[in-house]
Formats: sequence, structure tokens, C-alpha cells
Amino acid sequence: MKDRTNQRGQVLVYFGIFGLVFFSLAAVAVDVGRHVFVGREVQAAADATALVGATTLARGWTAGDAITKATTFGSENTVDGHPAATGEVQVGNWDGSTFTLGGSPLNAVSTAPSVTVNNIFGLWTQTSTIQRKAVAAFQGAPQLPLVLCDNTASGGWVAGITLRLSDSGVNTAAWAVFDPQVTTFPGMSVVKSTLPIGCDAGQGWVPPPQTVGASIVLGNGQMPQSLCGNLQPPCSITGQTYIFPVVDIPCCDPNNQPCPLNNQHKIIGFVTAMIDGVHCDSADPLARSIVGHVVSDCATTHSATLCPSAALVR
Amino acid sequence: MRNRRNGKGQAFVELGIIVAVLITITIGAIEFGYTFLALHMTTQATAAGARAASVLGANYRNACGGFVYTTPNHIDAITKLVTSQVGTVATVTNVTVQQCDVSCAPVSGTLPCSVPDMPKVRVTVVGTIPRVVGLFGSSPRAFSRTETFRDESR
Repeated sequence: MKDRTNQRGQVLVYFGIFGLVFFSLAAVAVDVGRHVFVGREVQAAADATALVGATTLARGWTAGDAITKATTFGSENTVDGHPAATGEVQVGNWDGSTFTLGGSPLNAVSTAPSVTVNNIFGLWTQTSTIQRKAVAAFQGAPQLPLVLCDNTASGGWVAGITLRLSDSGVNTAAWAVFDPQVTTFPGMSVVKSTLPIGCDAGQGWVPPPQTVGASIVLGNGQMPQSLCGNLQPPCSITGQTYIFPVVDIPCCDPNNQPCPLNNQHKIIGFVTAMIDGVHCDSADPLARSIVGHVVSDCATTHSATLCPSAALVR
Repeated sequence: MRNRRNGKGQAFVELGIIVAVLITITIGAIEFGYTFLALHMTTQATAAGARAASVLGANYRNACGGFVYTTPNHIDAITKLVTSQVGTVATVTNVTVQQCDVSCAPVSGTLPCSVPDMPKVRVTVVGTIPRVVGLFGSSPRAFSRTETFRDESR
């Protein structure tokens, strides 16, 4: 009769089971670790491609150009030793939190390249497809604490259109504070400190580049005589060209005063304009005001200095 | 006569074999993990370096947007950024920065521009990743990372 109390070989069974589990986990760990590493490479390729697309748009080329150039650029970066599949390059609108394909205005590019890797152990599947996404949108580094209203209803801020910040009358610009921590307008003293050196209390402080979708606080129509005087020479803003953010509040009807260019608003784009003059004479028909005109037509110049640039937003 | 069926010490020998195998596997896992971590960080640092090079300001460039080798030196700036991001995880031995399509000299590198109207900048980082334990006298692993971005300041 067989001895049923014989326990020989029992440890071998345990060892077999635990060994299988242990080596399986080790194999999964190696493959997952490699996925994470390859994913980082795909992300870098996605970022570079999205930035190419958004920069192309920002420089005034068409959405079609942005897609063509981004797609061509996709093979510049290799992943796992091979070019990643660029995937579909999409052009759309970024509002600060969401990318909308084909939305208006076109200010962002989304990419989702992928790569198929042969797993080292491949316990569950021989190959895996690793995909990463990136969204890049317009950004600009405004050197004056001024923003413009949304002029889309009147055809947009095309070259030659005048802008005006005034304490009365037609007003298409407003003072702004480029600080995401600030949610209510803190007063003109903060704005004055961010003017260029030589202009009122200006410290020459240049705010960090502002991205489409960022919220900023506006203070409209404040142009005291003292500030107006301090914007004259040696303050040298007249004749200078600056990038101005455009915010999501429509330019108001001059017959419907006051123009509500106040409170917190989102940046929807950028415009490059030249300051033509600062008027301080109360008898002046322009009242106390800063007047300028849009110079940049990125569609023809494609200039690095006059057009907005791009930044990764996701 | 010695009893050859005496099992004393057998478990001890088995334990020794198992422990040796487990330690080898564990060290292998640590080495693998560390190498992936270091490669991950160097890839990240190279991408950050290439991005920084693409937006380097006018004081690093000539009138055509080409990098200049005077002070402040763009390669010093990029190398500093890359090595600070890599930290002590790996040893960076060389950082090269290449541009394409710069019409006035000096040009750093001879990178071809594959797409018209789209200047690009490429950063290559080479170095070695040390072994944590160095089982069987294995030497540090050499790595080379390359990232290409659009040269956005041009």
C-alpha cells in the first residue's frame, strides 16, 4: 500500500509555483519599465512635433502648413532607435483647459505619435503600442502691461488698425496685471511698477511669457495726468513695437459707454502693434490716451520677433 | 561506516543555492531599474536642453540667429542645464548643440534642414551610467541621447 504520509517532492511543488510567480513578476517589471522609458522618448517627440505645428501657426502660416510641417518634422526624433509614427496632427483652439479640433481662433496644435515595441519577455503580448499626446499653443512675452479687446466682430486686429487706451471715449485697450495669483485689480501702482524703466515707477520688469488661456486681471480707462506725463520722454514707449495679448471680451460699441474692459479675462491670442503717441492735453480731441496701430502681419512677415511663439500647454 | 543517507545539512546547502540565485536576480533587477531610471532622466534632460536651445535669446546669437561662441556661451548654458537635470544619476561627458540653415557664420554643426522655412536645433548628450553593484565586474553603460526641436528664435 502506498505510504500517503510520504511528503517527498512537496517543496518542489512550492518552489515551482513560487518560482513561476516570481519570474513572471520580474518579466512584467522589465517590460513595464521599458514601456515607461520608451514613453518618455515618445513624449519628447510629441512635444517637438506639437511645438513645430503651433510655431508655424503663430508665424502666420495656414493650418494646412502647420499640419504639413509638423508631420514632416515628426521623423526628426527617434524612439527606441526608430522614427515614431507621427499620428494625426490636429489644429484647433486651446482655451486654457480644453483642446477643440478646428475651434476658433486657431491657436493650438495637438499631436499623438505612437511607436510599437517588441516586448523583451512579452508574457501577455509580443508587441505593445505606446502613444503619448502633446498640445502646444501660442504664447507671447508682453513688455507693456496692456491688453487689447477681442476685435473679431470688426474683422480682427489686422495690420493698420488703431488701438487706443483712454480715460474717456473710444477704448480698445486696458491696463493688465500678468500675475495668475492676482484675481482682482490691485490698483495702478502695481501696473506702474511693471512699465519699462524711465516710465513712471517702471522697474523694467518683464513678466513671464503668457500663454493662450491664461487668466489676467484688467483695469480699464485709468489715465491720470501724472501717469500720462510720465509716459513722455525719457520714457520711450512711443515708436516702439510690442506684443499685446488679446482677451476674450469683445471691443464695445463706442456709443455704448462705458466699455467694460475690467475684471478677469482669458488671453485668446496676441497682436503686435506700435505705440504712435501718448496724448496728455485735455483739450486734445483724443483726450488723455495712448494710441497705436497694429504692425504685424505675420501672414507675410513670418517674423520671429514680431509674431507670437509657442509653448507646451499639455 | 559513514551513513551516506544522513540528510543533515542538506537544507542548508539548498538554502545557500536559492539565496545565491535570488540575490543575483535581485541585483539584476536593481541594475535594470537603475539603468532605466538613468536613461529616462537623461532623455528628459536632453529634451529640456534642446527646448532651451530652441528659445535661447538674442545675446547668444548673431544677426542671423546663429549661436555665437563668445561669452555668454550657448554650449555652457545648455551643458549646465542638462548636467543639473541629470544630477548624480549618470555622468555626462559631452553635450553638443547643432543648428541648421544659418546663413552667416559661425555655424555650430552642419545639420541639414529637411523642411523649408523651418530651422531646427539638435542637442546630443553622451555619457555613462554607473552600475549600482557592478556584478561580475560589469563596466558603466555608455549612452547617447539626441533630441531635435524647431529653432524657435529664428
